[in-house]
Amino acid sequence: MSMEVLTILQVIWSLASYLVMTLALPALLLYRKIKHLRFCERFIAYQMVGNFYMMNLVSVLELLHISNRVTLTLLTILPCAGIYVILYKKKPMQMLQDLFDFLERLAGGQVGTRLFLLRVRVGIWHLLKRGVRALFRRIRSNFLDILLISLLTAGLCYVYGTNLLEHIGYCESDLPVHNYWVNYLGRNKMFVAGIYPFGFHCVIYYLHEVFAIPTYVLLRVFCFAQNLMIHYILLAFIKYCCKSKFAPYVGVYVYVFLKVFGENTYIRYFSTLPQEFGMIFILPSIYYLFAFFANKKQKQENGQREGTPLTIDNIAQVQEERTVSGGADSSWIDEELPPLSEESIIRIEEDGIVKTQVGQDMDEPAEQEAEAAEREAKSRTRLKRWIETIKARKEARVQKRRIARRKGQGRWARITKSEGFWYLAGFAISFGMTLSAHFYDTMIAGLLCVGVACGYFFRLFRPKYFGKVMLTGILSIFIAILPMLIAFAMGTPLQGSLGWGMKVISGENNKEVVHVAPVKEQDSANGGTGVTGNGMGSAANGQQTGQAVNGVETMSDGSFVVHQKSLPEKVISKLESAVGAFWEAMKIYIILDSYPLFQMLLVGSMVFLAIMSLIFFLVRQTDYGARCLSLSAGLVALSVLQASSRLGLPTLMDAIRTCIFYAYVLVAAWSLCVDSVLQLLFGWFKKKWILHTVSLAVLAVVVVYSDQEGLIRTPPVRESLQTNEAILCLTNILHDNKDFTWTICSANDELRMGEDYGYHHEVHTFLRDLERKGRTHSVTIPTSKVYFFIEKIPIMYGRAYRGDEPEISSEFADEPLPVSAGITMYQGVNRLIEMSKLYEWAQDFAELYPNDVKVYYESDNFVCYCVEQDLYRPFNFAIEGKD
Amino acid sequence: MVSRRNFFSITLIMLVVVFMFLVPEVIKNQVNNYGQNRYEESANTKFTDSSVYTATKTDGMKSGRFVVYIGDTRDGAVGSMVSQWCLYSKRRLLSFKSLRKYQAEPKNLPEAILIDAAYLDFDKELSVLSAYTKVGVDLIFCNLPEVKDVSRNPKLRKMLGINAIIDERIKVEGIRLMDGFLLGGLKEYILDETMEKTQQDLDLVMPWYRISGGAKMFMHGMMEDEVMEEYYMMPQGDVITKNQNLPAVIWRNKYENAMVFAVNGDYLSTNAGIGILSAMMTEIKDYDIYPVINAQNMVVLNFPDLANENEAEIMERYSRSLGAVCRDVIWPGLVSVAQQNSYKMTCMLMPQMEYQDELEPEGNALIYYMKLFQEQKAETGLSGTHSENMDISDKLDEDVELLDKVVPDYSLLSLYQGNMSDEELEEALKREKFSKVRTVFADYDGAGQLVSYLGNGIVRQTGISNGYSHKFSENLRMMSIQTSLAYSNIQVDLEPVAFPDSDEDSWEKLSRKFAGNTSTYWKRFSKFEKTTLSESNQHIRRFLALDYEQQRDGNKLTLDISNFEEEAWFILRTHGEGIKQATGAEFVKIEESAYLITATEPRVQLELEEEEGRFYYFE
Repeated sequence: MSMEVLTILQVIWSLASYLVMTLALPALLLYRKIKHLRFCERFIAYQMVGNFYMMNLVSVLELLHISNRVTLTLLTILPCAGIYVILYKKKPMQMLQDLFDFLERLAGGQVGTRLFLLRVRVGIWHLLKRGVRALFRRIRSNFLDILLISLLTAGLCYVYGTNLLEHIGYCESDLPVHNYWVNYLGRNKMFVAGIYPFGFHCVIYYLHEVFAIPTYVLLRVFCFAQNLMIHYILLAFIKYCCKSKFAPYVGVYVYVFLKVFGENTYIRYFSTLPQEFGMIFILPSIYYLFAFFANKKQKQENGQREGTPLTIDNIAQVQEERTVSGGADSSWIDEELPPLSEESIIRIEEDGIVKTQVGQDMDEPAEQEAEAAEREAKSRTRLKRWIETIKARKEARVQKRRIARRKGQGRWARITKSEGFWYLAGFAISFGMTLSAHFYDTMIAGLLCVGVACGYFFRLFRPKYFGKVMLTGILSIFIAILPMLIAFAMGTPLQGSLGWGMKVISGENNKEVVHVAPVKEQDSANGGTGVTGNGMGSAANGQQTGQAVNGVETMSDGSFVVHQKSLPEKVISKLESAVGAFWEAMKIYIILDSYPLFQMLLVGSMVFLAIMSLIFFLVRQTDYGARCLSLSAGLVALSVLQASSRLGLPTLMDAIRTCIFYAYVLVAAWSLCVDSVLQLLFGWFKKKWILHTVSLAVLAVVVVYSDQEGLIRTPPVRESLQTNEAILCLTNILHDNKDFTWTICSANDELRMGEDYGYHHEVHTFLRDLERKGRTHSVTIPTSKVYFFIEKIPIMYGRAYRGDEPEISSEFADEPLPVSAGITMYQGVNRLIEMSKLYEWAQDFAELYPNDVKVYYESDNFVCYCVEQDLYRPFNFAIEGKD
Repeated sequence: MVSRRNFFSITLIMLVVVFMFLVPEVIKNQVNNYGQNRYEESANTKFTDSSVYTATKTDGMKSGRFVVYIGDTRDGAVGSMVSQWCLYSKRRLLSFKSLRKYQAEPKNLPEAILIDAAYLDFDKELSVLSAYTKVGVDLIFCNLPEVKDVSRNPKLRKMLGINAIIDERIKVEGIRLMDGFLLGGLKEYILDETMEKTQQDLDLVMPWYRISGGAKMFMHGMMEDEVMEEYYMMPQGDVITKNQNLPAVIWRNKYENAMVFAVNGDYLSTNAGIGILSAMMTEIKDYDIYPVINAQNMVVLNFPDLANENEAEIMERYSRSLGAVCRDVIWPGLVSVAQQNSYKMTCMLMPQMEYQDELEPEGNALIYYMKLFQEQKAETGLSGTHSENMDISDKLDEDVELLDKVVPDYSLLSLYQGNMSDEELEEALKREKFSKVRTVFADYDGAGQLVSYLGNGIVRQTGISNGYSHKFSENLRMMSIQTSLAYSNIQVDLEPVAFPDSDEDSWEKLSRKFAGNTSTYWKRFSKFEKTTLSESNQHIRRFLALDYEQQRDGNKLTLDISNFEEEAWFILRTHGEGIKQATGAEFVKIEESAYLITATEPRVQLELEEEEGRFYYFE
């Protein structure tokens, strides 16, 4: 099998596994409960629930040290079955009894085999027929959407999938570390290298254990599934924000297909990394906030429009009136109930849940009464039955509340049924998961939340909203960091990078933004005005001093006059410098100079959205306006973060990282810009197809324009930090040998990749042993096969080589072994020396043992030698010291 | 009262049943041509002793198969073994009693120089050897000089790859033969609690040489960890390091541009050496292909006794006569082992040990056994074992008389020498009845040739293993000969059963050992052909007659065989390569990197490939 085919199969398998957990399983459980929501909202909900469950299940089991394939699988299947039974009021015992009865009859011959097979066949046939029919119905009703999503998926395969087949190794240097941490989850050692957000690792570990995908394979190929989700979530979020059907595709199209964005905004998508994985949860947290605020408002609007709030109390009456006046079509009962507020529908659904929950605790007569009411309601005609069911439920609910109040158990039930509870829960889950994945994602989500606070300022700061939102935020963070807190309380130290992050936030590690030399010059220019404090303060002072310098006028006689600026001048000056700093950062990181139009669009979109939000506020489309304003404000906040180092602010995040998020949010803003214009022009038509058609036309125009302007990009190339041949050899070694019967002697990446299956020996350690220990002692590697990975043309691992031809040679082999620690011994010329030495040693060894050293694989730039040995008396590799 | 109709039916059924049982037996008896030797025609060959191929100088130059031996080929030990190996491996051998007497031709350098340490002047001739290694001539030290000579000669130590002499004389616990050297794989010759002490008959006392890094070990002594830690200051607990220091027995070192093999012990002074030398040549080369006999014999000696001799003792032990013991006890046991391991038996008849008593061999019994042998595709020969009280000539007369009387047309093709002297044998073979004898089977005598012509067109084959005994040295010998010739002879002597000396000679004990040994130690060589003595005779004649040339071009290996008759057999040993396809031959994998090739045409082409191809690849 070729590696290309294998990689494709691995991609498909990893994607399918992830979709099972984050789409299929949640949909199976939740679909009927949330089917009134739009698909984009449901999709987000499924994603959040699936990921949240995987992360927390693994965390809990890891903390209990009982995480393995069996427990993970059991605790996935059993709770799902339980939830299914509870949510859909299934009677498992009855079902089991029926099944046993049936089997008994089958075994007893009361049901013949032919009849049984017929039933099975008919059952499968009906299932298939229903499934296919439903599928076609959905395709027919959403044809264009499905077509566009398919095209988007194909585009993503082209843009992000090509590189995956061409460079099959790890593309980032920190992936071996993540591999290491995931490996140790398999040994029930969470936080093996210190406390770190482990959400991403938990998901990878879960997929590895439950779906039997090797960790190194997941870390190689899961980025594809991750990218799909990132883009689908982006689309779903924009879809939720926009009113027109196809304007959302404009932003996603620009993001995926156009080459206007700087390389830094997407290059990390080629690796399976926690930060990028966490991006899946950023926009959903904003969506849940939007939905929470919109839900409140909708309820109020509905109440105002109908004269009285549409609640469970008057719903039956309203529906009856509609039936009488509206027409004879009674199928509306099965529909989504568009005339009703969603809240009312949810409440109807929730009543059912509450009934089940509370009904178990009801007194016997009350339960009988409620059931009798239910039974009676069922015997009526369809319309009457529905109305009477509502009434019966209402009565049952009143009774249940009474009972619950009597028992003091109604509070939690009321809270869960309270308005927006589930949206806030969604927000808590998604926001918490940003922190579980990577704290950079939390920062971005937090900044966007600030944007939402600006957009919904008129609601947020009301006491009854503010408290809930803040409490949810705090709770979400608490839930996310709870495993870390427990580990910390048990004495696990913080992981290095987390400590570094803390220092960055506290301003102790802002060396990269300190411009010491200019400050000193300015100091001297200012007559030694004191510059003290830390780097951040220095930088800030530097900025201020810089302004002062600008205000210094040198006279002809050499003296100078300092002009004192007024406050407005200072503010304007500050703003100018801030805009300048942002503009510079934007040009470097986000949109290249070659695309001035898009640079203007970037800045313009913030202003434009702010203006549009005002207009929509004026025309009383408050929610829409608030969403526009939220995104605008969020972008401003991100702009400040992007330019923070240039503004002299604490650098919470490197600009090179910020730009990834910036571009991600920016395209959502662009889509909203397009949509707001269309909404303003065509939104007033009652026939919404006009709006949708125009939005499709706009999408078409954008596609044609970008094609004509040559803006469509070719698939980016991301060189990996490992040779393809190394992965090929590793894959073959795993296939050919039993576990732990082999050792790979290579630079470093294979150490963690094969950790669960075999042994690894560092090239540097091996060469050092040969040099030092080998003169007097034996150097052995006690496995029956030892593989030596040698790069004839060493890869560039983060540092350039001296000279043009980085080929191994005897000259480099003669140089002393690099004396360095960490990864530096495999960087630049050090790697060249290590590989040259190993190659030379391998040649000498092969000369001594020509029949025992085999070339396992060789290409122009790589060779893998295999030494097969007797384990009882393995070879002494220290051949130099033989005399 | 049975009705006539039922009576008729019952009678009819009974007749049918009788018919069904009788007819096959009748047909079998009719078809069973026990009076004819089925191998007389089928195992025939045109080759005689004049066809034996001996490599000439020209052949040696052409084929490159040429070695020099420093020692005496007539010394009966190492020299005899070396000359035997050269004959079997179709090599030209030049033998000199001193290295100085050998004047190398630069254009005709030998593959290797084999050295008997007793014939080498280490003070003066090491530099000459060193010069040979510089031009790529490999060295094989068939034995080593005294420890003190090794000790005082650093140049020799360096050449041999001896890092240190830890002890001049130690006794090891056992010997370990490493995987991939001889066919049959890894073997540890060390006693465990289930074995008798007599099993260990290898020489366990040896000088302790520690070999240096870069040298490769093929056989080494085994010592207990505690002994090494306590007496020899080896690091505690570090098993691998300790194993690096174990006493070396057979190893090779890379010296200059050649390989230098060393044997610490007298393993090359017996026939066991030929396989070791073959394995060494395989180690030197990228691959090695050499002709083999490909015959696995099971020879049942002195069976059956047809005269119910030694009646009193046999009755006491088995409660039945010797004839009944042979028929009811021994024969089923033999057939069971032979069938289980797919062997063909060659039974050497001993109609009667002593004709001086009143007992006479029963002709009917002979017919009975001849039929059984025919059914089992066994071959019948005649045993020359005789009592000291009786002249062999008289005994053979009696035997021949019986045979002429009972199976006058049966051609005797093989004869067991037994305790006949060579002269007696020569005399015996002049008889008319033995005019068609092609094979004389003899007991193993240590250093003599395993297969050879007796001089009158008769091939002499020697037994290699005793079915009742399989000591460590016997196992090593068997593996070695299998490696070199794909040849083995298991001999099962039933004379001790008929005339037991002790309880150990009872059949139930002997048969247990025989069955256990045969099923265990020959299992790894099951791919070799099972033959009778006449068939193996044919194989040997073809083997001794043929010559071959081989050349490799990339993955194509071409073999040209001269003196080819119908079939010839070769072993191909590689280092990680396998045969993808063959033309003009069939092949079967013996073990990792070892193949048995049956050439069916004089020109064979083999296509080789990596044994372990990569499962995943780049397109």
